[in-house]
Amino acid sequence: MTYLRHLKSITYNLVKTQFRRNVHKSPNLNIPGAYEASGKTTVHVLNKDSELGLMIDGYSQVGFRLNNDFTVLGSMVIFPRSVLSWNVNDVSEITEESFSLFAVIEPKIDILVLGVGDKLDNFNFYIKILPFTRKYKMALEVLPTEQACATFNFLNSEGRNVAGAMIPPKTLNANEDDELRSKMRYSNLYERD
Amino acid sequence: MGKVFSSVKHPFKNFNLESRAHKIISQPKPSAAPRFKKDQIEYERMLKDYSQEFNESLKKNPQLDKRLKDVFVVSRDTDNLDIKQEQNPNRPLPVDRKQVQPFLYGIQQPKKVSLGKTTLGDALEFLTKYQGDPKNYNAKKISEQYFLAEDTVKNILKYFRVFEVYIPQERQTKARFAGPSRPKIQILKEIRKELPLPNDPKEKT
Repeated sequence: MTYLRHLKSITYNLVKTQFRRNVHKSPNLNIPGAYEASGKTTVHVLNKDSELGLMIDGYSQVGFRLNNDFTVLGSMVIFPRSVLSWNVNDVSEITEESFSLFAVIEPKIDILVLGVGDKLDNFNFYIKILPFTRKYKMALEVLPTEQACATFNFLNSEGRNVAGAMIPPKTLNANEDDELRSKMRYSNLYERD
Repeated sequence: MGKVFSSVKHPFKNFNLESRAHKIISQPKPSAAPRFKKDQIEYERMLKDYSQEFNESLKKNPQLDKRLKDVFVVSRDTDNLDIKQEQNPNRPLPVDRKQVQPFLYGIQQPKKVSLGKTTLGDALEFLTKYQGDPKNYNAKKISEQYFLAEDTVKNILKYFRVFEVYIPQERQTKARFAGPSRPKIQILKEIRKELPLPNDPKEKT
């Protein structure tokens, strides 16, 4: 019995020093079974699939670009396949009245994604709309517009009865790639004036 | 660590495994595993207390044996295997197996709407109509037509607008711009066209 215990301790030390790296390695992805299809991978862009409904392709300080080639100016309220202008320019203007349409629509919308523009530090405006959400049992997702757009797109692609109320952000962090893409969209870069 | 230990132990564990297994399988009657000590004590106590009942249970009971022999189960195929489900004429089962087409507004619009509510399609319709003729087609008329509260309609008309397409004049772009539509009635400040004055001698021929 003592011999066995001795053997155990020897193997333990051996293992501890030599095999630690192997044992503590995170699981390999190239093991068989991790990816079983043949060599090709496909990427599916939600926004390019018109069957999934209306989606937001981009946003700026003036408005939103949708996947039906329309650029919406100002705030908007977006439904799975329709869009309306929203007469709210700032978070401080959000009131119960500004949500009046969502309360009367039947069938009731599952979730309302509220894009509040820039990232907020305090959510005091929420106190004003809290009674509304309680009264109509409205599921509300308050996010900065950047995240709200993505959330809306994803929920819409899932076929949910979602509505998005988006306020364009006031500050924008655009990199060179974004600038080039927007220039290419609106003008021919290789043409001289 | 457990994985390493098991891989070390495994060869010893499997040593001579097959012959050991055959030895156990080839026994005519498998021997029961020994009981736990606590259970063994309890078992012995029961044997001591109810020895008569235990001995009785070892004997063959003719009455129970006969009952077991009498039980006989027969199964037959029924003649009419295709049993048709009775249909309720008020609630007929679906016959159309075609794929459902995507709905106009993403989700199916209800046929009946409760009072004080409206569908998205109706809302878009009255908003569009209101933009075209805000004076005549006002909140009061909408609230009467769609059975909505007038205050709610006023709020909806205040905060929600349909879009108008704006075409930029300066440059040609691929994008189409849509902004909130403005009411169609406008007062034109500059004069566009003048009617000829009455009794103007120049007009007479």
